[in-house]
Amino acid sequence: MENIALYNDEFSWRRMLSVGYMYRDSIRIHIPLTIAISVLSSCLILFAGSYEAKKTLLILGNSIMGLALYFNPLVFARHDDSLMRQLPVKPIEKWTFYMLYSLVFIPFIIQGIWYGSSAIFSFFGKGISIEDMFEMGMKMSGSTIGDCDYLSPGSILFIGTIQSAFYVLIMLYIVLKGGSHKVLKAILCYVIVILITGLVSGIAGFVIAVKDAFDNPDMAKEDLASSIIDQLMPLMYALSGVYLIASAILARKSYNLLAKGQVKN
Amino acid sequence: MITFDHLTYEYSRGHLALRDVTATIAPGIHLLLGENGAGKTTLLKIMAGLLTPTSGKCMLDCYDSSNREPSALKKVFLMPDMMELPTKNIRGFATLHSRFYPTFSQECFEENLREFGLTGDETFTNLSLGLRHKTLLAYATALGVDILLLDEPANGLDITSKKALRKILARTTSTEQTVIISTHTVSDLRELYDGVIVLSKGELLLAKPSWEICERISCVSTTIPSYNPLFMEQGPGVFYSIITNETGEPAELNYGLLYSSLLSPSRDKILKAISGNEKGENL
Repeated sequence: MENIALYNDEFSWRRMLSVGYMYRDSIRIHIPLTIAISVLSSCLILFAGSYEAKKTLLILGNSIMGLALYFNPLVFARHDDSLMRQLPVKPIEKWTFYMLYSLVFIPFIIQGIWYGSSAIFSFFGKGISIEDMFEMGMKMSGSTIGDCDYLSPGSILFIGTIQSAFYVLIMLYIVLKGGSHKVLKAILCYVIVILITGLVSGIAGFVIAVKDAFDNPDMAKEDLASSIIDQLMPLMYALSGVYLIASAILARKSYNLLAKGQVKN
Repeated sequence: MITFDHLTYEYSRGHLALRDVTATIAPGIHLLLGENGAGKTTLLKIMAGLLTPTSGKCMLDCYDSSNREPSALKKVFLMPDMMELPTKNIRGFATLHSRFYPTFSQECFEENLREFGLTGDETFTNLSLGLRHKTLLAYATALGVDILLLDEPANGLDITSKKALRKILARTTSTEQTVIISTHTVSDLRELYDGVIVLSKGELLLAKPSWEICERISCVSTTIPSYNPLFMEQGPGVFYSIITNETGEPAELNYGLLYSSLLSPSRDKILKAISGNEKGENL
């Protein structure tokens, strides 16, 4: 058994990784569960017959995998934080571990399986290609962010990554903040953020629609939709900017919580 | 050596948990007493680096406990009243957790488990509060940390287990170690205490070595009231009194009686008899 305790106060990668040992039992369940969710979701979509069915299942699969990703920091939730907080590890080491696990390792598993399985399926000619699936995904995302013709694949990926990181960091912050009912708080927080985002987008869309309809009453329905989406794009980017700033603040605040090590309960 | 330097802790809601606590605690086993909400657990958490004082300092040898560097944290361990462990049993936990503590002794851990009549493979979820406490105590006392903080360690322990705990603490505590035991049942480990710390409403009333207290006062139980006691309490058919120790020979100390006296109007008389000063005495 390696004696981590003999290391000095300098940053140690080995000590950072040792933090994971304290969650060994939870991680042993979490990783297979994440893999299973990703595989099942991927298979659900890839085995689906018709294009319409694939569309529906892609929404379902994406949602399931999204939730698995966003809520992954809950694996660190404990009723009692006193043990982890008095662990002789530097705050930056703990922070790095949590960040790597939640923001790199788990997303890597989920995305890896998703794209990996679709690549295998398309290789054997059983499913659709990654390009087709991406295009389909882009079109479907129109339900929330507009017609994807207005956004490049890079932009979709960028916005999606920022949004996911924001949700993961919210969950991590709630877990590290301590106190009781962490899981409930995390779910509530997610619902509130979704509602606020939806509300802001909805109000903005409605205002633009009313303005366009008032300014140009003869505009065709398709043109009106196109105009609304066109005008909503800056809002999408602004919202992503807000997510990015909020993510940076949450990451910093999470570090502060670890550095202070205050136990609430 | 633990030093509290004008330590004050205020919770966010404005409740003052500790007020200007100043004392020095030497190695040994110390009893920490205080009524509910007196600030005992807050003090333990500050020592363990789990709370940062609002003002003042808590020094563990030359380390400020609030700095929370690994070199300081690996010398302290707080075993709270309730502790959630990430493994199924204490043996699994010891494998994961002890790697952070260089002074952990596997032999001592095994011996402690034997003393409590445990194997270490018992599943936590199947254990009662007392048994769970015993497994944790077997581990905590084997850590060999410089400062071991135990919050209500005898909680839920039966008579035999309390005896076993006494033996374990006597065996595992070295002369360089400081063990602070916060408890409401003072009689359980009374033979072990080298000193006593008393808090009341966030204020430090007393922090003295037991031998020094014993040289100054005597705790006596008589069937008739003592003459001119510093403090007296009546039990069924017996009077418990604290009187000045005129002989200077160490007398037996009744921690429960001492504690009651410090919460009574006789507090000043008792403190004066013990030290001549009222607060902030070194231990």
